[in-house]
Amino acid sequence: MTEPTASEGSAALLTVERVAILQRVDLFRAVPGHTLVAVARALEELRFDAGEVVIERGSTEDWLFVVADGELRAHVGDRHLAERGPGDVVGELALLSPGVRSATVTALTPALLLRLRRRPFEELLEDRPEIARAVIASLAHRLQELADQDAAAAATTEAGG
Amino acid sequence: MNVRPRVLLLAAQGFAFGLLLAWVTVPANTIFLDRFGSNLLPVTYLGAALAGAGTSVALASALRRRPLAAVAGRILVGVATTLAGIWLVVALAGATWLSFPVLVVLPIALPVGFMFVVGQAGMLLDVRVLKVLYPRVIAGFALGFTVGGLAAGPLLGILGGIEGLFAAAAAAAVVLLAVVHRTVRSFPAELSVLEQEDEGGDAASSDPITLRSLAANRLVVLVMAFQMLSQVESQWLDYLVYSRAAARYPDPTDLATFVGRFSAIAYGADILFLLLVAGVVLRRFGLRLGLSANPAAVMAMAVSVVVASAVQGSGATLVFVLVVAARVTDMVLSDGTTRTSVGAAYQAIPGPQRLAAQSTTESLAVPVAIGISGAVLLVVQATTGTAGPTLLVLVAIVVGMWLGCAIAIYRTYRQHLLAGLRHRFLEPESLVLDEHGSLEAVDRLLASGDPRDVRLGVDLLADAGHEGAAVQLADLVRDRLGDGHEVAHGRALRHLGTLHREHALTLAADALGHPHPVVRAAALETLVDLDALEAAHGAEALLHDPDPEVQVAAAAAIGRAGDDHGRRLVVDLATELATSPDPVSRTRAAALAGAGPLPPAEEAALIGRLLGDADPAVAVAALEALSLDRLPELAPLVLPWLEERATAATAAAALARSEGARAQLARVLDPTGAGSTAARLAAVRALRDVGGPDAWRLLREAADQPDRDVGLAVLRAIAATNDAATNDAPRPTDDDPGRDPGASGAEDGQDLGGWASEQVAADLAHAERIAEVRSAVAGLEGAPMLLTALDDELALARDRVLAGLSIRYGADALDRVAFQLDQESPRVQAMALEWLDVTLQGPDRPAIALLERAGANAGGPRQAGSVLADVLRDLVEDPHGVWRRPWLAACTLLAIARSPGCGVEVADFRGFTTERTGWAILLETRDALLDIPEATAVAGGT
Repeated sequence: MTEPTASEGSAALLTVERVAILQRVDLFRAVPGHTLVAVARALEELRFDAGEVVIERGSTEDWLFVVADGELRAHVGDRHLAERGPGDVVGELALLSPGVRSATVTALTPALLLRLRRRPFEELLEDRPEIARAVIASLAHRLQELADQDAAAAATTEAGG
Repeated sequence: MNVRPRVLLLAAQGFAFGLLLAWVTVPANTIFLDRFGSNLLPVTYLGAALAGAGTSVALASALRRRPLAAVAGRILVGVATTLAGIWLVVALAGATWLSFPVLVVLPIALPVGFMFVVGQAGMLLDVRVLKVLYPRVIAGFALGFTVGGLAAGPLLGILGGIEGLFAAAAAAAVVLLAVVHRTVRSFPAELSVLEQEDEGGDAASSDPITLRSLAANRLVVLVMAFQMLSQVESQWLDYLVYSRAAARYPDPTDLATFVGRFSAIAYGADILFLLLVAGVVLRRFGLRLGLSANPAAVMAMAVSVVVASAVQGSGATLVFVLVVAARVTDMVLSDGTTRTSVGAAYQAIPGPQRLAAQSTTESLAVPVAIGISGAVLLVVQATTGTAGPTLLVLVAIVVGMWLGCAIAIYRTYRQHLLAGLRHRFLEPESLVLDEHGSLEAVDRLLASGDPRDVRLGVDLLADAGHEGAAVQLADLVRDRLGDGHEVAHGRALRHLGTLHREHALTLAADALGHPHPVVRAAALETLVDLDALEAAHGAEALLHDPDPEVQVAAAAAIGRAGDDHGRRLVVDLATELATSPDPVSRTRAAALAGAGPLPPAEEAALIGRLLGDADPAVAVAALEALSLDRLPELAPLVLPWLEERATAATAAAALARSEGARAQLARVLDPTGAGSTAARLAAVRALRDVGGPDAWRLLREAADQPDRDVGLAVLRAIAATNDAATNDAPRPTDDDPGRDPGASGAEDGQDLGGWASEQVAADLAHAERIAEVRSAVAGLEGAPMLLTALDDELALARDRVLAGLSIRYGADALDRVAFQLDQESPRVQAMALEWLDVTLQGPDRPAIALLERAGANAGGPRQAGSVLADVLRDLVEDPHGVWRRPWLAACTLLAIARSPGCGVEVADFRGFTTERTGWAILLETRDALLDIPEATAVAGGT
């Protein structure tokens, strides 16, 4: 696994504030705040400068990032996939099925991210089945996004070809 | 959903319909009485019955092809044209005989017209809104009828004769048509569909709706009977009023004056009741009063009429006044409570049947009732006469039956509502291979090359209990389940063990030498299950099988059927594995030790050693293997594992399995004890799973948990164990999915209902407290996090209330209700709330308001500084111990810090200390907000 090279200075957010950020994330929206305290404590705060790589395609990792502040871009080479901002999550696939990252994520602006590793997430999944449902919904949404992008790319290729 | 335009359009339809009916009633009655006299009136009632039958058939056919509103539109076009034609023919040709067919059709017009309005209301409004606001729609009708009646006099002069009112009625029909058209345009999604397509379209595949299928629905039959009895009673009261008025006022002018006053009083009272009382009464007392008020009141009036006529004679003024009062009461309550309640009752009939039931009842059953009333009147006229007490007594009898019908509908309505709440669970069903096609399907599975298909085929064959299943399974094991089908082979052997002992013994003995371990293990287990003691000898040889599953099966065989030598072998092997550095081997040692009874000392030593293992996976295996009934001395070694997340559930299950060890779980659940949340939850789940009176008693003693989340788990577990116990007992009726409040299959059930209500009341009080605090802090700039936390608390209170209600009214019913309440559709939610409305009793009823407003917590205006400061201080300091600590306090501190001028500051809590560990978040929040460099060191999480 490769660790991010971003700065991991002293925590800037209170646990309560981290819970507030988590509750803006679709995955955790249905989970009561007091239950999220344990997850919030397990989060690591990472700061990235604009242009810095957050996730490298091909790397093997088992964590996700919650965007607390800033804008990120997911891409494969020059091919743009999506943009993510505060309240979004990137890299959740690695939490469910640790493996090679399928896309690169780069900070578009200075960003504050919260890293959640696999273990506390799995404990939360065991305790709160509604998170598992939210994960499935999120994955379905992501699949739909990818399918739409593929269809758009195919249409562009046909038009150009 | 904005209901105001919907109700306005429906009320406008009611008003136009009232005008139309008034302008038909006045000329038709006047012309008919002038031409034929009153003696022929009962004959028109009989004609109404015949006309009703024809109308019913035509309506049913039309409603199968077109949406309700479209059918209404076509009928209105026909009505307007016909009325215009009647006006012309009567005015130009003097064809006054036409008043006869008009009077025949008139009694059908009212129920059929209301059927269309109620039908649209059912599509536009959910049942809860309908109950409260439908009286306004009926008030529109009453107002229209009154205005029409009052305007009839002046119109006579303008239109040049009584028959001119038919032209006015034709105009009213056109107006009504325009309003219906506007309603459809405003709400096309709801009104442009066939009723049978509604409710998910599942009716498409259902059988056609016939009179027989309607008659099989108890609620439909009862509503039909209710409406018929109501109609008979109304016709007779009407007849009593008019026949006695005609006798008292022989002069036509006097009679007309009386009729005018009577109509004004009746419809005036009707409108006032509808606008001021009906909605409030129905909202507060529901269908129980809505259905029974009318028959009960008329019954009281009828009895008083009978008594008065017995005392003063049937011609007395008091008797006449009471008869008129009875009819006015009947009209007012019929419009004010009965129509709305019957409209709501129709909503509990499944969608595909609903409209058919309505049209059959209103266009067939009601006219038939009118015909019956006419026939009886003719008989009474011809025998005892209608002036004496006979008709009064008949009215009292019919009203008594009507009241009984109302009570029966109310009970059936509740059951139908619950049945209508769609179930979310997959009901397990046994497969019955009773068709040739099913057997062929199993054969195809067994012949498949895919091992999963074959496995399924083997299971289906065994589960179905087919006569030749054992022979077929034996053939499969012998000849067909080769390489790649070992799992199916093993399952077939186990199934054979239950189906055919001889086949199983022979084939299992042969399979002990099978090259695949799954088959060897299955063979050994089958022999042990069949008590084939000789298997133990083969088992000793298999104890050192390379496959762990075979080893464990061999140990089980030896433990059950072997001798001391065999058990010694198991102990030696398990001891050797238990000392291995490899945790997998140690896990296998635990499985061997738990497979079958070993000498107690050796078993205790083995499992005791493994319970002390540092690896949680080994500990879990040891806990699974442990029988505290045999080894009670090991209980203290189990307790530490309750505090480990990975082992808590298994440890609790080990304690719950043993009757003697369950007291340890009671200690874990002790509200004043120090058991962790994970341990408490594990204990609750274990007790729920083990069930029985003992577990139920321990759960109930543990209900008052300091952590409301754990308390919720306890309440749910009590409901589940209580439901299971109740389900074991015979139910009062097969079709009643609800439960009598307080009924319990568990021990000590007589006061369980009351206890559950106390829990519900406490949670309702807490929810009220949360709502008040939420309202107080809603205006604070920095409150969002606190508001979210309070919403979480409110959601928890709601879940606890539902769990408490589950204990009293049945977990199955409340599971359905909770599921429906979580749906987005207001109509679906309304059905669930309506069931609660007709089910919850006494102190539980305030729960409806909480469940109804859940999720809609609008904040109130910002509170005065002093009040707000007190609320915030209370949340942080919690002097009464009612708030979730420390989470709400931490969120409150954040809100205070981010809301300058809220009347309190974080610094006010500088001296606030806590003796509790696990409150790091509160102190961390406070100290960070106060800019204290190093947060107070407090161990633990939250």
